[in-house]
Amino acid sequence: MTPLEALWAATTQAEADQARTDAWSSLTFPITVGDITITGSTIKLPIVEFTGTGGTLDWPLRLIGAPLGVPDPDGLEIDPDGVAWRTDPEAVLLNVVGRYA
Amino acid sequence: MTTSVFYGADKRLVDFVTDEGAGNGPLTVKQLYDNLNTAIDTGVTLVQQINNSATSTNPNATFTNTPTNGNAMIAILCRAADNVASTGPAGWTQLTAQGSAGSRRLEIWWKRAGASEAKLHTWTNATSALWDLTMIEYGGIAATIDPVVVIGATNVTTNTTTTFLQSGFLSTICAVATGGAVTNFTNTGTNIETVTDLPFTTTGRFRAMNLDPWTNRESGQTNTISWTTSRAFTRAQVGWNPGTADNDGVGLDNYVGNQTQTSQTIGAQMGLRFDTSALPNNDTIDSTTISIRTGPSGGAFWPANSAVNAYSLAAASITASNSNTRAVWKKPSELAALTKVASRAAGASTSAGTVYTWTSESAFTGQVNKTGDTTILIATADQQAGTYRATAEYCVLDPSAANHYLTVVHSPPVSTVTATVTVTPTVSDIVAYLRTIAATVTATPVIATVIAYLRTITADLAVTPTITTVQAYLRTIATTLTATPAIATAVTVLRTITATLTGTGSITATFQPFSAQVARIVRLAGRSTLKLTQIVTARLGGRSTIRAPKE
Repeated sequence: MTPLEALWAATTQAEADQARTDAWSSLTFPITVGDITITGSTIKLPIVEFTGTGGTLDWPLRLIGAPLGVPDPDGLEIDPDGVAWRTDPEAVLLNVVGRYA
Repeated sequence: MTTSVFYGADKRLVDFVTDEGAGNGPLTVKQLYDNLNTAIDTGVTLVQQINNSATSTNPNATFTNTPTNGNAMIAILCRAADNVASTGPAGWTQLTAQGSAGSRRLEIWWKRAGASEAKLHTWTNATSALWDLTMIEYGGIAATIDPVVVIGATNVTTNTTTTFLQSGFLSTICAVATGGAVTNFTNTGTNIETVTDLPFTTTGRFRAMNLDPWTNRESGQTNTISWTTSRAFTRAQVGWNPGTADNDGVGLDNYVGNQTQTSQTIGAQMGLRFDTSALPNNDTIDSTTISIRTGPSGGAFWPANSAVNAYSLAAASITASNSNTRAVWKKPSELAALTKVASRAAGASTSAGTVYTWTSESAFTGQVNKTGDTTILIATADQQAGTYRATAEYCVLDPSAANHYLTVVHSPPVSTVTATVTVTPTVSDIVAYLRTIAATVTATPVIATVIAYLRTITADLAVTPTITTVQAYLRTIATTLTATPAIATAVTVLRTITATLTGTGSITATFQPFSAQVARIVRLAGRSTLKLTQIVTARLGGRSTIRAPKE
């Protein structure tokens, strides 16, 4: 079960938080986008805080209540509304960071 | 500084044109904006109602007043002893009908009142049997849009309870008929809005109700009417059921804006909630932007002539509640009263499933709530202007709240001394301890050496200073001396005879200076009188003489 599927299946806050933690813990640093280098993260749900340098971003970067993936017509994870997704926390992160590279 | 990205925690789409069943509503975009206040604030109004019942041919009833030109008339015709269809009067259209062979029949008709509408309306039925006819005149937005069938007439034979849903924000009529013996209907629904029994007869075989829902009602609220009876019956529901379609994230796309003016499908606005309480309360917000993701399917569509705006809802809830309020959908005047915080221009190049950061207004930072939710309303500039067009002016957004986000750049507070020094420093000796004090001093500097005995007397001296040397015996007597001063030595015999002595002075001879043997002369000048009263003895002794002047 992917983190997204685990999140949709969660019946308790603890289960949902575990799914989120699993997703954000899967990132490997450093992550480089243009002149930006993301060096690490701290998970304190609902906040995931990233340290890094470069770009026009004011560091640190905090994501609050971020999704664990992105809608993807080709995705294999189908949410309860029938929309296809793919678990991809890095894509979520880069969606924001890419604006500042 | 820190960059915090807040993803949407909740979303609510309200469409005032599309029917709640996601189909065409009875209002077009043009009808909605041309009759905005009537549609939203007035709704459907019940003008008059009348009932008649008999066992005869040709059911009929007569309005008390002549119906107003343009108003909608609804007729509910029930038969309780047979299933013989009736023929409507001229101009009446049957909305729905159903019967059960040999026992009962329910028909609902409607007509728009003409310029000189008749009061009496007669249905044709050659069979004499028990019938009940109720006629209702509706005004308000009912004068603009036609009624629709909400629940088609159906025989209910497998159970004795039926539930009528309260949907839409306009008035709805429910009707039931039963056959055979007298029975009772019991309303067991959750009636949070006004439900009025229409004036049916007391046979107990017919019931109709009129719902008078809140004009600001939104989808998602709960209101039901459940009729329970001991017999199987036929039931139907008609009314005006437009708008307030609600989409909580189901499906691929959410449409925001207006369809073409003749469309009955899109007149929608979207509310977004961001939980921004994780912002440090003392931080200064330097900038805020909103990033909106287009729908994954039809998201490449963007209005060509109308900008799409984000308005601050000032932390107001976007959740529908069982109350007479509209949390999300706003009229043009209501939109104009909100603070616009961001926008994306008409005709902007757009792709599906893509995040776009909108252009922020300077007021955005002030609308971010650091202690709770920041709520945003997405609506088009056309909706604020009340404009409709021949072209479709809507955008297609991602239905998932978490795919939209706010980016807030914030800074911790800078310490600043704000107190004002009120004590005048006394400088006695500043040779040895020169120091430089920064513009923003937070700590009180310690000065090692202080001259201890300098004193400063303020300009406003309130206490009388003590003067050590005083002349002890000076006295001052006030000008208004009330006590008589005591004079130690006084001449006691001084007498004063006033200048104007009017009375004749008398000398009482109690003092006798004429001592024995001492010569005295008493001279009485002219015209003097010497009066000797009573027994007086003048004893002239010695060489005394009494001389009368003319003697």
